[in-house]
Amino acid sequence: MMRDQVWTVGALIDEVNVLLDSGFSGLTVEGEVTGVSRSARGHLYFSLKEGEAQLDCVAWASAAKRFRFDLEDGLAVLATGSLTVYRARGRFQLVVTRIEPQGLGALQLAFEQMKRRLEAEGIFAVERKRPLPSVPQRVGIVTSASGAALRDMLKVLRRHANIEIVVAPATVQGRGSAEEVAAALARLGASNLVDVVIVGRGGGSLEDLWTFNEESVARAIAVCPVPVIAGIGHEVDFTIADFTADIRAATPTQAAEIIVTQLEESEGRVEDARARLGWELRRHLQGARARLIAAGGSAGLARVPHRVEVARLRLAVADRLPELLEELVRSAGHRLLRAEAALRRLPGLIAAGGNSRLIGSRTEQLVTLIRGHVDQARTAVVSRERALQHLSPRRVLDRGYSITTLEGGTQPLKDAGRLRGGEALVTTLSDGTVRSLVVKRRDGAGPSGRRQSQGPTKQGSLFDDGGSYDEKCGSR
Amino acid sequence: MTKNVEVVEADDRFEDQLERLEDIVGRLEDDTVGLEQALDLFEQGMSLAGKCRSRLERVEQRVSKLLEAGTTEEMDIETS
Repeated sequence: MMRDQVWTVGALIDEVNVLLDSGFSGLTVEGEVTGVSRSARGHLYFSLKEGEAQLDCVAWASAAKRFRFDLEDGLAVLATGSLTVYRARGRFQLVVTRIEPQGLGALQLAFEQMKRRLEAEGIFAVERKRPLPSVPQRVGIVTSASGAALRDMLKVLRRHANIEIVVAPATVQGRGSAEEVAAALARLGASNLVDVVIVGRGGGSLEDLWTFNEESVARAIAVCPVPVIAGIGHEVDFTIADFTADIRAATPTQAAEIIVTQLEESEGRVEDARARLGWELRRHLQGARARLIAAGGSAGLARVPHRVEVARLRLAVADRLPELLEELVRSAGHRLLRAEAALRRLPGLIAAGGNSRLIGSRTEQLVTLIRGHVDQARTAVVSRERALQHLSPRRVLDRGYSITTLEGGTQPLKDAGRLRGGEALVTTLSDGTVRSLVVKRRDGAGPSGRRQSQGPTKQGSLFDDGGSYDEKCGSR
Repeated sequence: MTKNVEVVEADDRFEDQLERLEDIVGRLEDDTVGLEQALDLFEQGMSLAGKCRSRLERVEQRVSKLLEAGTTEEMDIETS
Protein backbone atom coordinates (compact mmCIF):
# COMPACT_ATOMS: atom_id res chain seq x y z
CA MET A 1 0.00 0.00 0.00
CA MET A 2 2.69 2.40 1.07
CA ARG A 3 4.76 1.52 -1.95
CA ASP A 4 2.07 2.74 -4.40
CA GLN A 5 1.47 5.90 -2.50
CA VAL A 6 3.31 9.14 -3.22
CA TRP A 7 4.29 10.87 0.03
CA THR A 8 4.93 14.43 0.81
CA VAL A 9 8.14 14.78 2.88
CA GLY A 10 6.31 16.06 5.91
CA ALA A 11 3.68 13.37 5.81
CA LEU A 12 6.30 10.65 5.51
CA ILE A 13 8.23 11.93 8.50
CA ASP A 14 5.05 12.28 10.49
CA GLU A 15 4.04 8.71 9.60
CA VAL A 16 7.47 7.37 10.55
CA ASN A 17 7.27 9.23 13.83
CA VAL A 18 3.92 7.60 14.59
CA LEU A 19 5.47 4.20 13.98
CA LEU A 20 8.56 5.03 16.03
CA ASP A 21 6.43 6.33 18.82
CA SER A 22 4.45 3.13 19.07
CA GLY A 23 7.46 0.83 18.94
CA PHE A 24 10.49 2.82 20.12
CA SER A 25 9.47 5.03 23.04
CA GLY A 26 10.70 4.68 26.61
CA LEU A 27 13.72 2.70 25.51
CA THR A 28 17.17 2.79 27.01
CA VAL A 29 20.35 2.98 24.95
CA GLU A 30 23.84 2.26 26.15
CA GLY A 31 26.75 4.21 24.70
CA GLU A 32 29.59 6.67 25.10
CA VAL A 33 28.82 10.37 25.11
CA THR A 34 30.51 12.46 22.44
CA GLY A 35 30.20 15.93 20.92
CA VAL A 36 28.28 17.57 23.80
CA SER A 37 26.99 21.07 23.14
CA ARG A 38 24.49 23.18 25.01
CA SER A 39 22.25 25.72 23.31
CA ALA A 40 21.56 29.17 24.70
CA ARG A 41 18.12 27.96 25.75
CA GLY A 42 19.60 25.09 27.71
CA HIS A 43 18.92 22.22 25.30
CA LEU A 44 21.64 19.59 25.23
CA TYR A 45 22.87 18.08 21.98
CA PHE A 46 25.22 15.12 21.89
CA SER A 47 25.78 11.74 20.31
CA LEU A 48 26.00 8.25 21.70
CA LYS A 49 28.55 6.11 20.02
CA GLU A 50 29.49 2.50 20.15
CA GLY A 51 32.31 1.40 17.83
CA GLU A 52 31.47 2.70 14.37
CA ALA A 53 27.82 3.30 15.19
CA GLN A 54 26.60 6.68 16.29
CA LEU A 55 23.20 7.99 17.38
CA ASP A 56 22.22 11.67 17.57
CA CYS A 57 20.64 12.65 20.87
CA VAL A 58 18.89 15.69 22.22
CA ALA A 59 17.75 16.54 25.74
CA TRP A 60 15.36 19.45 25.90
CA ALA A 61 16.11 22.07 28.52
CA SER A 62 13.23 20.91 30.75
CA ALA A 63 14.79 17.45 30.99
CA ALA A 64 18.42 18.56 30.89
CA LYS A 65 18.11 20.70 34.01
CA ARG A 66 17.03 17.65 36.00
CA PHE A 67 20.25 15.77 35.21
CA ARG A 68 22.26 15.59 38.43
CA PHE A 69 25.65 15.48 36.75
CA ASP A 70 27.26 17.23 33.81
CA LEU A 71 27.43 15.39 30.51
CA GLU A 72 31.01 15.03 29.43
CA ASP A 73 32.59 13.52 26.37
CA GLY A 74 33.75 9.99 26.97
CA LEU A 75 31.23 9.26 29.70
CA ALA A 76 29.56 5.83 29.45
CA VAL A 77 25.85 6.29 30.02
CA LEU A 78 22.44 4.71 29.83
CA ALA A 79 20.13 7.16 28.07
CA THR A 80 16.36 6.69 28.26
CA GLY A 81 14.00 8.37 25.79
CA SER A 82 12.13 8.05 22.50
CA LEU A 83 13.30 7.76 18.93
CA THR A 84 11.99 10.41 16.51
CA VAL A 85 12.90 11.91 13.19
CA TYR A 86 13.64 15.60 13.41
CA ARG A 87 11.22 17.07 10.91
CA ALA A 88 13.28 20.07 9.81
CA ARG A 89 16.33 17.92 9.02
CA GLY A 90 14.87 14.54 8.55
CA ARG A 91 17.40 13.27 11.05
CA PHE A 92 16.92 10.30 13.25
CA GLN A 93 17.52 11.09 16.95
CA LEU A 94 16.94 9.95 20.49
CA VAL A 95 15.06 12.50 22.62
CA VAL A 96 16.54 11.80 26.03
CA THR A 97 14.48 12.31 29.18
CA ARG A 98 16.68 10.55 31.72
CA ILE A 99 20.33 9.68 31.82
CA GLU A 100 22.41 7.62 34.23
CA PRO A 101 26.13 7.17 34.26
CA GLN A 102 27.34 3.60 34.04
CA GLY A 103 29.46 2.30 36.90
CA LEU A 104 29.19 5.19 39.36
CA GLY A 105 25.79 6.42 40.50
CA ALA A 106 24.58 9.78 39.24
CA LEU A 107 25.11 11.45 42.61
CA GLN A 108 28.55 10.03 42.98
CA LEU A 109 29.45 11.27 39.54
CA ALA A 110 27.97 14.69 40.26
CA PHE A 111 30.02 14.76 43.45
CA GLU A 112 33.22 13.90 41.60
CA GLN A 113 32.51 16.52 38.97
CA MET A 114 31.77 19.26 41.50
CA LYS A 115 34.83 18.32 43.50
CA ARG A 116 37.05 18.46 40.43
CA ARG A 117 35.63 21.81 39.37
CA LEU A 118 35.96 23.51 42.76
CA GLU A 119 39.38 21.99 43.23
CA ALA A 120 40.51 23.51 39.94
CA GLU A 121 39.17 26.82 41.20
CA GLY A 122 41.38 26.50 44.27
CA ILE A 123 38.57 26.59 46.79
CA PHE A 124 39.93 23.57 48.70
CA ALA A 125 43.51 24.84 48.71
CA VAL A 126 45.41 24.31 51.93
CA GLU A 127 46.60 27.94 51.82
CA ARG A 128 42.99 29.06 52.16
CA LYS A 129 42.44 27.11 55.38
CA ARG A 130 42.26 29.30 58.42
CA PRO A 131 43.41 27.99 61.81
CA LEU A 132 41.01 27.68 64.70
CA PRO A 133 41.26 30.82 66.88
CA SER A 134 43.12 30.35 70.19
CA VAL A 135 40.00 31.36 72.09
CA PRO A 136 37.01 29.98 70.15
CA GLN A 137 34.48 31.05 72.74
CA ARG A 138 31.64 32.39 70.67
CA VAL A 139 30.48 29.47 68.59
CA GLY A 140 27.98 29.70 65.75
CA ILE A 141 26.13 26.54 64.74
CA VAL A 142 24.32 25.98 61.44
CA THR A 143 22.12 22.91 61.68
CA SER A 144 18.54 21.76 62.05
CA ALA A 145 16.95 23.15 65.23
CA SER A 146 15.25 19.81 65.86
CA GLY A 147 18.05 17.42 64.93
CA ALA A 148 20.04 15.14 67.16
CA ALA A 149 23.20 16.78 65.84
CA LEU A 150 22.39 20.05 67.64
CA ARG A 151 21.76 18.20 70.89
CA ASP A 152 25.04 16.30 70.52
CA MET A 153 27.01 19.47 69.89
CA LEU A 154 25.40 21.41 72.74
CA LYS A 155 26.05 18.55 75.12
CA VAL A 156 29.77 18.80 74.43
CA LEU A 157 30.00 22.59 74.29
CA ARG A 158 28.05 23.01 77.55
CA ARG A 159 30.77 21.11 79.36
CA HIS A 160 32.72 24.34 79.22
CA ALA A 161 31.62 27.24 81.38
CA ASN A 162 32.87 29.93 79.03
CA ILE A 163 31.30 29.15 75.67
CA GLU A 164 28.57 31.23 74.14
CA ILE A 165 26.54 29.52 71.43
CA VAL A 166 24.53 31.14 68.64
CA VAL A 167 22.39 28.73 66.62
CA ALA A 168 21.32 29.67 63.10
CA PRO A 169 18.69 27.06 62.30
CA ALA A 170 18.41 25.68 58.76
CA THR A 171 16.73 22.75 57.11
CA VAL A 172 19.52 20.35 56.25
CA GLN A 173 17.75 17.98 53.89
CA GLY A 174 15.50 18.20 50.86
CA ARG A 175 14.53 20.85 48.37
CA GLY A 176 15.76 24.36 49.18
CA SER A 177 17.89 23.17 52.10
CA ALA A 178 21.19 24.12 50.46
CA GLU A 179 19.98 27.69 50.09
CA GLU A 180 18.83 27.73 53.72
CA VAL A 181 22.18 26.47 54.94
CA ALA A 182 24.03 29.02 52.79
CA ALA A 183 21.80 31.83 54.07
CA ALA A 184 22.26 30.78 57.71
CA LEU A 185 26.03 30.75 57.19
CA ALA A 186 25.93 34.21 55.66
CA ARG A 187 23.78 35.53 58.52
CA LEU A 188 26.12 34.15 61.18
CA GLY A 189 29.15 35.49 59.35
CA ALA A 190 27.62 38.96 59.11
CA SER A 191 26.39 38.97 62.73
CA ASN A 192 29.83 39.58 64.21
CA LEU A 193 28.66 37.46 67.12
CA VAL A 194 30.88 34.43 66.64
CA ASP A 195 34.57 33.48 66.49
CA VAL A 196 33.99 30.20 64.67
CA VAL A 197 31.11 28.39 62.94
CA ILE A 198 30.19 24.71 62.95
CA VAL A 199 28.17 23.39 60.02
CA GLY A 200 26.70 20.16 61.29
CA ARG A 201 24.38 17.34 60.40
CA GLY A 202 23.87 13.81 61.66
CA GLY A 203 24.45 10.73 59.55
CA GLY A 204 22.38 9.71 56.52
CA SER A 205 22.53 8.36 53.01
CA LEU A 206 24.42 10.07 50.20
CA GLU A 207 21.07 11.48 49.14
CA ASP A 208 20.35 12.76 52.67
CA LEU A 209 23.70 14.51 52.89
CA TRP A 210 23.38 15.94 49.38
CA THR A 211 22.70 19.47 50.65
CA PHE A 212 26.33 19.64 51.73
CA ASN A 213 27.53 18.79 48.24
CA GLU A 214 25.75 21.76 46.72
CA GLU A 215 27.80 24.55 45.30
CA SER A 216 25.88 27.28 47.17
CA VAL A 217 26.89 25.74 50.51
CA ALA A 218 30.52 25.42 49.44
CA ARG A 219 30.59 29.06 48.35
CA ALA A 220 28.98 30.25 51.60
CA ILE A 221 31.61 28.35 53.60
CA ALA A 222 34.43 29.78 51.49
CA VAL A 223 33.38 33.40 52.02
CA CYS A 224 32.48 33.09 55.71
CA PRO A 225 34.54 35.72 57.59
CA VAL A 226 35.33 33.35 60.47
CA PRO A 227 36.76 29.82 60.28
CA VAL A 228 34.24 27.06 59.58
CA ILE A 229 34.32 23.55 61.01
CA ALA A 230 32.35 20.94 59.08
CA GLY A 231 30.90 18.07 61.10
CA ILE A 232 28.70 16.23 58.65
CA GLY A 233 27.46 12.66 58.81
CA HIS A 234 29.78 9.96 60.05
CA GLU A 235 33.49 9.39 59.91
CA VAL A 236 33.30 7.85 56.42
CA ASP A 237 31.19 10.60 54.86
CA PHE A 238 33.07 13.20 52.88
CA THR A 239 31.04 16.05 51.40
CA ILE A 240 32.04 19.05 49.34
CA ALA A 241 31.40 21.10 52.49
CA ASP A 242 34.01 19.00 54.29
CA PHE A 243 36.59 19.81 51.62
CA THR A 244 35.71 23.50 51.64
CA ALA A 245 35.63 23.99 55.41
CA ASP A 246 38.72 25.24 57.23
CA ILE A 247 38.58 22.24 59.52
CA ARG A 248 36.89 18.91 58.87
CA ALA A 249 35.51 17.03 61.85
CA ALA A 250 34.36 13.42 61.50
CA THR A 251 31.02 14.09 63.22
CA PRO A 252 29.10 17.02 64.76
CA THR A 253 30.15 15.83 68.22
CA GLN A 254 33.78 15.86 67.19
CA ALA A 255 33.42 19.37 65.79
CA ALA A 256 32.27 20.55 69.23
CA GLU A 257 35.08 18.64 70.90
CA ILE A 258 37.67 20.35 68.73
CA ILE A 259 36.47 23.69 70.08
CA VAL A 260 36.40 22.65 73.73
CA THR A 261 39.85 21.09 73.39
CA GLN A 262 41.28 24.26 71.88
CA LEU A 263 39.87 26.38 74.70
CA GLU A 264 41.20 24.02 77.34
CA GLU A 265 44.58 24.01 75.67
CA SER A 266 44.77 27.81 75.76
CA GLU A 267 43.71 27.80 79.41
CA GLY A 268 46.29 25.14 80.15
CA ARG A 269 49.03 27.21 78.55
CA VAL A 270 48.12 30.24 80.67
CA GLU A 271 47.91 28.24 83.90
CA ASP A 272 51.12 26.44 83.09
CA ALA A 273 52.92 29.72 82.47
CA ARG A 274 51.58 31.10 85.75
CA ALA A 275 52.72 28.05 87.68
CA ARG A 276 56.16 28.23 86.09
CA LEU A 277 56.41 31.94 86.92
CA GLY A 278 55.88 31.00 90.57
CA TRP A 279 58.40 28.18 90.47
CA GLU A 280 61.03 30.21 88.73
CA LEU A 281 60.67 33.13 91.11
CA ARG A 282 61.01 30.76 94.03
CA ARG A 283 64.15 29.36 92.49
CA HIS A 284 65.63 32.85 92.18
CA LEU A 285 64.70 33.62 95.79
CA GLN A 286 66.37 30.43 96.95
CA GLY A 287 69.46 31.38 95.00
CA ALA A 288 69.49 34.78 96.68
CA ARG A 289 69.07 33.12 100.04
CA ALA A 290 72.01 30.84 99.37
CA ARG A 291 74.09 33.88 98.48
CA LEU A 292 73.03 35.58 101.69
CA ILE A 293 74.03 32.59 103.78
CA ALA A 294 77.36 32.41 101.98
CA ALA A 295 77.90 36.09 102.65
CA GLY A 296 77.27 35.49 106.36
CA GLY A 297 80.17 33.01 106.56
CA SER A 298 83.80 33.55 107.56
CA ALA A 299 84.59 35.72 104.59
CA GLY A 300 81.49 37.76 105.29
CA LEU A 301 83.17 40.90 106.58
CA ALA A 302 85.04 41.33 103.37
CA ARG A 303 81.76 41.27 101.53
CA VAL A 304 79.66 43.74 103.41
CA PRO A 305 78.64 45.74 100.33
CA HIS A 306 77.42 42.50 98.79
CA ARG A 307 75.61 41.61 102.00
CA VAL A 308 73.93 44.97 102.09
CA GLU A 309 72.82 44.52 98.48
CA VAL A 310 71.42 41.07 99.16
CA ALA A 311 69.66 42.33 102.27
CA ARG A 312 68.13 45.15 100.27
CA LEU A 313 66.81 42.69 97.72
CA ARG A 314 65.42 40.51 100.45
CA LEU A 315 63.56 43.45 101.85
CA ALA A 316 62.18 44.21 98.41
CA VAL A 317 61.01 40.62 98.13
CA ALA A 318 59.51 40.68 101.60
CA ASP A 319 57.55 43.79 100.65
CA ARG A 320 56.02 42.13 97.63
CA LEU A 321 55.67 38.73 99.18
CA PRO A 322 52.04 38.86 100.36
CA GLU A 323 50.96 39.88 96.87
CA LEU A 324 52.96 37.12 95.21
CA LEU A 325 51.74 34.50 97.62
CA GLU A 326 48.17 35.56 97.16
CA GLU A 327 48.61 35.06 93.44
CA LEU A 328 50.07 31.62 93.91
CA VAL A 329 47.32 30.54 96.28
CA ARG A 330 44.67 31.94 93.95
CA SER A 331 46.17 30.05 91.04
CA ALA A 332 46.10 26.82 93.06
CA GLY A 333 42.50 27.50 93.99
CA HIS A 334 41.59 28.08 90.37
CA ARG A 335 43.11 24.79 89.35
CA LEU A 336 41.25 23.09 92.16
CA LEU A 337 37.96 24.47 90.86
CA ARG A 338 38.73 23.23 87.37
CA ALA A 339 39.68 19.79 88.64
CA GLU A 340 36.52 19.71 90.71
CA ALA A 341 34.37 20.64 87.72
CA ALA A 342 36.05 17.94 85.64
CA LEU A 343 35.41 15.38 88.31
CA ARG A 344 31.79 16.39 88.72
CA ARG A 345 31.32 15.79 85.02
CA LEU A 346 32.48 12.23 85.35
CA PRO A 347 29.33 10.65 86.86
CA GLY A 348 27.17 12.15 84.15
CA LEU A 349 29.41 10.74 81.46
CA ILE A 350 29.36 7.24 82.86
CA ALA A 351 25.86 7.35 84.36
CA ALA A 352 24.64 4.93 81.71
CA GLY A 353 26.99 2.36 83.18
CA GLY A 354 24.93 2.34 86.39
CA ASN A 355 27.89 3.06 88.67
CA SER A 356 27.04 6.68 89.22
CA ARG A 357 26.64 6.39 92.98
CA LEU A 358 30.01 4.80 93.39
CA ILE A 359 31.57 7.36 91.11
CA GLY A 360 29.80 10.13 93.00
CA SER A 361 31.36 9.10 96.28
CA ARG A 362 34.77 8.63 94.63
CA THR A 363 34.42 12.12 93.23
CA GLU A 364 33.78 13.51 96.70
CA GLN A 365 36.82 11.65 97.99
CA LEU A 366 39.00 13.03 95.25
CA VAL A 367 37.73 16.55 95.73
CA THR A 368 38.42 16.33 99.46
CA LEU A 369 41.86 14.93 98.73
CA ILE A 370 42.70 17.73 96.34
CA ARG A 371 41.33 20.33 98.75
CA GLY A 372 43.63 18.89 101.42
CA HIS A 373 46.64 19.21 99.12
CA VAL A 374 45.84 22.79 98.30
CA ASP A 375 45.30 23.69 101.96
CA GLN A 376 48.60 22.04 102.81
CA ALA A 377 50.36 23.96 100.07
CA ARG A 378 48.80 27.19 101.28
CA THR A 379 49.94 26.56 104.87
CA ALA A 380 53.45 25.74 103.69
CA VAL A 381 53.60 28.93 101.66
CA VAL A 382 52.40 31.07 104.56
CA SER A 383 54.86 29.56 107.02
CA ARG A 384 57.71 30.11 104.57
CA GLU A 385 56.67 33.67 104.24
CA ARG A 386 56.98 34.07 108.00
CA ALA A 387 60.33 32.34 108.12
CA LEU A 388 61.59 34.59 105.36
CA GLN A 389 60.47 37.70 107.15
CA HIS A 390 62.27 36.65 110.33
CA LEU A 391 65.48 36.39 108.38
CA SER A 392 65.32 39.90 107.07
CA PRO A 393 67.93 42.24 108.62
CA ARG A 394 65.22 44.72 109.49
CA ARG A 395 63.38 42.08 111.53
CA VAL A 396 66.60 41.27 113.33
CA LEU A 397 66.88 44.91 114.35
CA ASP A 398 63.20 44.88 115.33
CA ARG A 399 63.92 42.04 117.69
CA GLY A 400 66.30 44.31 119.62
CA TYR A 401 69.69 43.60 118.15
CA SER A 402 71.85 46.39 116.85
CA ILE A 403 74.90 46.86 114.69
CA THR A 404 77.77 49.04 115.86
CA THR A 405 80.57 50.42 113.72
CA LEU A 406 83.36 52.90 114.29
CA GLU A 407 82.22 56.30 113.20
CA GLY A 408 83.03 56.56 109.51
CA GLY A 409 83.59 52.81 109.23
CA THR A 410 81.52 50.21 107.43
CA GLN A 411 82.54 47.03 109.23
CA PRO A 412 80.44 45.93 112.18
CA LEU A 413 82.43 45.79 115.40
CA LYS A 414 83.00 42.28 116.65
CA ASP A 415 85.56 42.65 119.45
CA ALA A 416 86.12 45.31 122.06
CA GLY A 417 89.88 44.87 122.22
CA ARG A 418 90.68 47.38 119.53
CA LEU A 419 88.64 50.21 120.93
CA ARG A 420 90.21 53.16 122.67
CA GLY A 421 88.52 55.50 125.12
CA GLY A 422 87.08 58.55 123.40
CA GLU A 423 86.51 56.88 120.05
CA ALA A 424 83.18 57.63 118.43
CA LEU A 425 80.83 54.75 117.55
CA VAL A 426 77.67 54.63 115.47
CA THR A 427 74.99 52.13 116.43
CA THR A 428 72.14 51.22 114.09
CA LEU A 429 68.85 50.34 115.81
CA SER A 430 65.57 49.42 114.19
CA ASP A 431 64.33 52.97 113.80
CA GLY A 432 67.47 55.13 113.75
CA THR A 433 71.15 55.45 114.63
CA VAL A 434 72.93 56.57 117.75
CA ARG A 435 76.35 58.18 117.98
CA SER A 436 78.25 57.44 121.18
CA LEU A 437 81.74 57.70 122.69
CA VAL A 438 83.78 54.94 124.32
CA VAL A 439 84.30 55.67 127.98
CA LYS A 440 85.93 52.55 129.20
CA ARG A 441 86.80 49.15 127.83
CA ARG A 442 86.24 46.09 129.98
CA ASP A 443 88.42 43.32 128.58
CA GLY A 444 87.48 39.66 128.43
CA ALA A 445 83.81 40.21 127.66
CA GLY A 446 83.44 37.85 124.72
CA PRO A 447 80.30 37.01 122.82
CA SER A 448 80.37 33.31 123.66
CA GLY A 449 79.54 30.98 126.50
CA ARG A 450 77.66 31.84 129.65
CA ARG A 451 78.41 35.49 129.23
CA GLN A 452 76.15 35.69 126.30
CA SER A 453 73.15 36.29 128.52
CA GLN A 454 74.91 39.37 129.77
CA GLY A 455 75.12 40.67 126.27
CA PRO A 456 72.68 43.52 126.63
CA THR A 457 74.14 44.66 129.93
CA LYS A 458 77.66 44.41 128.61
CA GLN A 459 76.76 46.30 125.57
CA GLY A 460 75.05 48.90 127.66
CA SER A 461 78.09 49.39 129.79
CA LEU A 462 80.26 49.77 126.77
CA PHE A 463 78.40 52.78 125.71
CA ASP A 464 78.03 56.07 127.19
CA ASP A 465 75.17 58.11 126.01
CA GLY A 466 76.85 60.16 123.36
CA GLY A 467 74.04 62.63 123.54
CA SER A 468 73.97 63.09 119.79
CA TYR A 469 70.56 61.49 119.56
CA ASP A 470 67.71 61.06 121.92
CA GLU A 471 67.71 57.26 121.72
CA LYS A 472 68.04 55.42 124.98
CA CYS A 473 70.57 52.92 123.79
CA GLY A 474 71.66 51.90 127.25
CA SER A 475 68.52 49.92 127.85
CA ARG A 476 69.68 47.11 125.64
CA MET B 1 60.93 48.62 88.02
CA THR B 2 60.59 48.66 84.26
CA LYS B 3 57.36 49.73 82.67
CA ASN B 4 57.11 47.08 79.96
CA VAL B 5 53.75 46.10 81.32
CA GLU B 6 52.31 49.39 80.14
CA VAL B 7 53.08 48.52 76.54
CA VAL B 8 50.48 45.77 76.63
CA GLU B 9 47.33 47.06 74.99
CA ALA B 10 43.95 45.92 76.19
CA ASP B 11 42.88 44.77 72.75
CA ASP B 12 46.06 42.85 72.04
CA ARG B 13 45.46 39.46 70.58
CA PHE B 14 45.30 36.70 73.14
CA GLU B 15 47.84 34.69 71.20
CA ASP B 16 50.36 37.57 71.29
CA GLN B 17 49.90 38.04 75.02
CA LEU B 18 50.26 34.33 75.65
CA GLU B 19 53.42 34.19 73.58
CA ARG B 20 54.85 37.16 75.44
CA LEU B 21 53.95 35.46 78.70
CA GLU B 22 55.70 32.25 77.65
CA ASP B 23 58.69 34.29 76.54
CA ILE B 24 58.88 35.90 79.99
CA VAL B 25 58.74 32.49 81.63
CA GLY B 26 61.62 31.43 79.39
CA ARG B 27 63.67 34.44 80.42
CA LEU B 28 62.93 33.77 84.07
CA GLU B 29 64.36 30.28 83.65
CA ASP B 30 67.73 31.83 82.93
CA ASP B 31 69.95 31.61 86.02
CA THR B 32 71.97 34.68 85.11
CA VAL B 33 68.93 36.91 85.57
CA GLY B 34 69.36 38.95 88.75
CA LEU B 35 66.82 38.84 91.54
CA GLU B 36 65.61 42.36 90.91
CA GLN B 37 65.02 41.59 87.23
CA ALA B 38 63.44 38.27 88.15
CA LEU B 39 60.91 40.14 90.26
CA ASP B 40 60.16 42.50 87.39
CA LEU B 41 59.70 39.58 85.00
CA PHE B 42 57.48 37.83 87.50
CA GLU B 43 55.28 40.88 87.85
CA GLN B 44 55.04 41.40 84.09
CA GLY B 45 54.24 37.73 83.68
CA MET B 46 51.55 37.81 86.34
CA SER B 47 49.99 40.84 84.74
CA LEU B 48 49.93 39.16 81.32
CA ALA B 49 48.60 35.94 82.82
CA GLY B 50 45.83 37.95 84.46
CA LYS B 51 44.92 39.50 81.14
CA CYS B 52 44.96 36.15 79.37
CA ARG B 53 42.80 34.67 82.08
CA SER B 54 40.21 37.42 81.98
CA ARG B 55 40.12 37.05 78.20
CA LEU B 56 39.36 33.36 78.67
CA GLU B 57 36.55 34.21 81.05
CA ARG B 58 35.14 36.88 78.77
CA VAL B 59 31.89 35.08 78.03
CA GLU B 60 29.51 32.97 80.05
CA GLN B 61 27.65 29.89 78.95
CA ARG B 62 24.59 30.80 76.93
CA VAL B 63 22.65 29.41 73.98
CA SER B 64 20.74 31.75 71.72
CA LYS B 65 19.07 31.58 68.35
CA LEU B 66 19.94 33.89 65.49
CA LEU B 67 16.78 35.31 63.96
CA GLU B 68 16.24 36.41 60.37
CA ALA B 69 16.58 40.04 61.39
CA GLY B 70 20.07 39.39 62.73
CA THR B 71 18.95 39.70 66.36
CA THR B 72 19.10 36.83 68.83
CA GLU B 73 16.74 35.29 71.34
CA GLU B 74 17.35 32.91 74.20
CA MET B 75 17.13 29.26 73.16
CA ASP B 76 16.16 26.55 75.60
CA ILE B 77 17.34 23.09 74.64
CA GLU B 78 17.51 20.13 76.96
CA THR B 79 20.63 18.08 76.30
CA SER B 80 20.77 15.72 79.23
